[in-house]
Amino acid sequence: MFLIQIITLSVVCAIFQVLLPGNAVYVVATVSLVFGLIFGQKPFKAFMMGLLGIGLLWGSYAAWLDQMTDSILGVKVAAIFSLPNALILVFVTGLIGGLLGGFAALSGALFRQLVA
Amino acid sequence: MKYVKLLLSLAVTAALIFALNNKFGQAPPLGKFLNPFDGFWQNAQNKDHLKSAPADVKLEGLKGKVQVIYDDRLVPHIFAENEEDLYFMQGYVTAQHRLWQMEFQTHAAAGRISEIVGKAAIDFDRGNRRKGMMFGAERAIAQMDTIPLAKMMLTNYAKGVNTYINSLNVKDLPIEYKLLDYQPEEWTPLKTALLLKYMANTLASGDDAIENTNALKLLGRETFDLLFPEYHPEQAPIVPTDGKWKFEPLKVSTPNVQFSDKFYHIMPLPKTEPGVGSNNWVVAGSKTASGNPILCDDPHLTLSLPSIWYEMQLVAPGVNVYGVTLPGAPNIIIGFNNDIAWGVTNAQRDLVDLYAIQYKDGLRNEYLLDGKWEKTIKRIEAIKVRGDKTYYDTVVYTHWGPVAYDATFHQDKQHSDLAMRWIAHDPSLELLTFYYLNRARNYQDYVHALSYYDCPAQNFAFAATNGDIAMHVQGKYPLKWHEQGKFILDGTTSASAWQGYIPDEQNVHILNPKRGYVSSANQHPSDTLYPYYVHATNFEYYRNRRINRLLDSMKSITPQMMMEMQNDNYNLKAAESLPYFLSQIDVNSLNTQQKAAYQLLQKWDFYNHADIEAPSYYEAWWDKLIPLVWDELTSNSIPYKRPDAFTTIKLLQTKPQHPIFDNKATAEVETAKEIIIKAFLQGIDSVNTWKQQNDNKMPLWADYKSTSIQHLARLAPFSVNNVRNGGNHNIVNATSERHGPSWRMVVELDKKGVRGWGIYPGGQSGNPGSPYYANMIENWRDGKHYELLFMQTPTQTAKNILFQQSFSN
Repeated sequence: MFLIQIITLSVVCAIFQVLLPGNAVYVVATVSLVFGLIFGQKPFKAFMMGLLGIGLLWGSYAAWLDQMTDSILGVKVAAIFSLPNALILVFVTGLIGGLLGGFAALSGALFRQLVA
Repeated sequence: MKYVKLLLSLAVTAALIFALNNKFGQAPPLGKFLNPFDGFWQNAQNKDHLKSAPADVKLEGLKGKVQVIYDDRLVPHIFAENEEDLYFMQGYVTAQHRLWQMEFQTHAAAGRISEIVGKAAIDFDRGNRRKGMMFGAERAIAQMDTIPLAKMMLTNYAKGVNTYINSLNVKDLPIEYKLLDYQPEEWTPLKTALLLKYMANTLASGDDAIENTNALKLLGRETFDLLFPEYHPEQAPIVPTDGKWKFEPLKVSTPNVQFSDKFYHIMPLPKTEPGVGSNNWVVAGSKTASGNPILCDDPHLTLSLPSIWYEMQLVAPGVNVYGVTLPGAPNIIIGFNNDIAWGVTNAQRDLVDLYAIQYKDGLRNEYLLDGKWEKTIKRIEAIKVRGDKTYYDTVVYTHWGPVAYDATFHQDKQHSDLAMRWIAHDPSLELLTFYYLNRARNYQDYVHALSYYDCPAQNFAFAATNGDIAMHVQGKYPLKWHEQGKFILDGTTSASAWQGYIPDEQNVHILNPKRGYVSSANQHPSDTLYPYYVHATNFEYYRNRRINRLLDSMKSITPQMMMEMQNDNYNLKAAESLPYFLSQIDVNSLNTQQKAAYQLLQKWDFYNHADIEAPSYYEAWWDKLIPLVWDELTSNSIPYKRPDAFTTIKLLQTKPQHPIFDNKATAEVETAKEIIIKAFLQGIDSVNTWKQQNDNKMPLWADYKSTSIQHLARLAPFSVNNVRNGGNHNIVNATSERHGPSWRMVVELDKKGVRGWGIYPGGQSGNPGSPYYANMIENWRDGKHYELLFMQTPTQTAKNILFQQSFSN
């Protein structure tokens, strides 16, 4: 069940990001918050859903793009951030997406608890 | 408690949203930048990305059908049915690969970099505005707007660029926009004019009036003339005088005006750098194996990524031309067609003069001219600064031009108001030159095309399939009396003004010379018999003489020989100075390591090859020698320039006892000999220091020199460092640390089909995430050229065609 929730969040978030280019941060925050609200999980579980749902979405998509292009750009941008390789940048990408998704989903879940 | 938790969680979420959407210091907005849907990861490409480009594209604004065929280096070959579409597509395709560069360079010219990077660029922006770059561009565009042909090119080019900008998805925005967090704006013809001013600034902003005025004051006339002679008889000018010039020169009267006689404590604006120069030459059929003329050109510019050049073929009814373009400007700038080829080097000439202004009062509303008060015009420059308030700078314009230097700019102790008269401020129509050159079929067409060419002055080499070869030192050159503009001029009298311009037909030029070749490498245009005064901040003495010696000695020349010659590493300067330098050293006084370096140099054949040590020792010696010799001309508050290499070497050899060789910082009296020895020892020290810093590596020349090709915004990971190559300043292969051959081209003018070879240190794509971003650098480094695919029809088959696209309305 939890796994399905994570996957659903990932897929819906991906669709909205494609539909609303340039608004990644707002899309992730809104979709995650709404999912937290709808599913009404325990706060920790909601946070984990957001963290994993968005983190894996961003991280794996970034990793795939990087892989497809032999890390031609990943390694250069990693260097701009003084990171040793693109893999760490992929991780950072997943992490920031995940944190945003996690806290937004957490907020949704907490809000539902408050209302319920 | 529940409220607190919720509020805390919401606060963290809101903080994350804010943090990820905004730029902090140098860091981009991380959420926007890193998200894989439209952040930077989308800019990464592999070779399949390009091949999957749609075969048919609808573009509003096209009149007919345009085919764009890309070869395997991503060079577009554009086939259009009319000229409007041709320039539309030139703009579109260029923007597709170089949009960020086009905009960044024109922002730089307009003094708008602070808008992007913040207050660190204010001084740079003020400088470009005070030079009147925008003022010049506006005047140029006003002129071009009156010529339907120029307007047609500019507006269609702009339409093409804007069509591309408007079609851009967020994810496809060039990475620099994402990194620096800003958006492209609409392209306008004014931006093209700004780009041409950007080139004028790069090539024709050399001026040494401040430095010369200071040096004359410090040294006195006799020493000044000794250190800064206008011409050495050993020089090999572009066009040597065979007897007399066959024209009646215009009269230039020398007014009774005094040059400014004081020290100027002014930090001069950045100007044309000494590493900027070029080589070009053409050999006539009489000297080649095939009997066809061969034209060669390699402009030396700051090595940068994206490259300054973008390669392209343009075909439409009446034109089929191949070569390199400047992203932002229509037409091919250096190239060839089925009948002719042309290539440029910078024509050295002082085209900037400074006039000392006397204001009536602190209001700066009026200035003195011929005993009367003339009104000034004030231009308020509002420099938007990212993350800060707008910086306002008032630039005062006189009839001379903008008062570039005043109390608020680049001065400390005293203040002087200096107005700038620069040829780049004048309206001009260079675009037409390139339009007509692209279509030229013979020498007459070329001369006609050049008649529109004013600035930046260039030495245009020419060759045609009919066998003609030529060189024209073309530009708009002010008529100057002896030394006019070499020093700061009196701006209170109109007698200081330029008295007109040299007529085009009296510019230095030559057609089919007896020696069977023409050549230029930024040396003097002609010798002292040329009837007009010619001054420049620096003239080349070495590359040009080396080129002429090689060409004199060559017979049955093939294009391959010419390509090799473009990579010639012979250091004529070393050949003419090192034996003398070595003779000054007492070998017995040296320690083992110094002796080893001495012997290395003694055995050296004067070639600055990449993988030997001797050039490192010679260049390190030279780098130490110059400041020691010219210690008099070093001051923190007063700018001077140093005499050139040729003069320095000549003085060291012919006047070793001259008091200028005495180092003022020491008690004993030095002659050339002591200075040379001291520099030798210091040079070895700097090589040793380099070794310590580089894991005790051998100081091979390529590593010691360490050529880097830097990204335009100085983003180190987007730069390519330590490109291992030989050469240096004053060498035909002019690859130094930061400058070098920015496009090497060799063209054989065969009647049966013109063939070209070329390469530049970069790649067609401006995207650091593209396989075509820096793909040509390795071959460039190794001195190789690509054979250029010069197509005659869009259906022509060639094994190196990558993909094609067809565009229509």
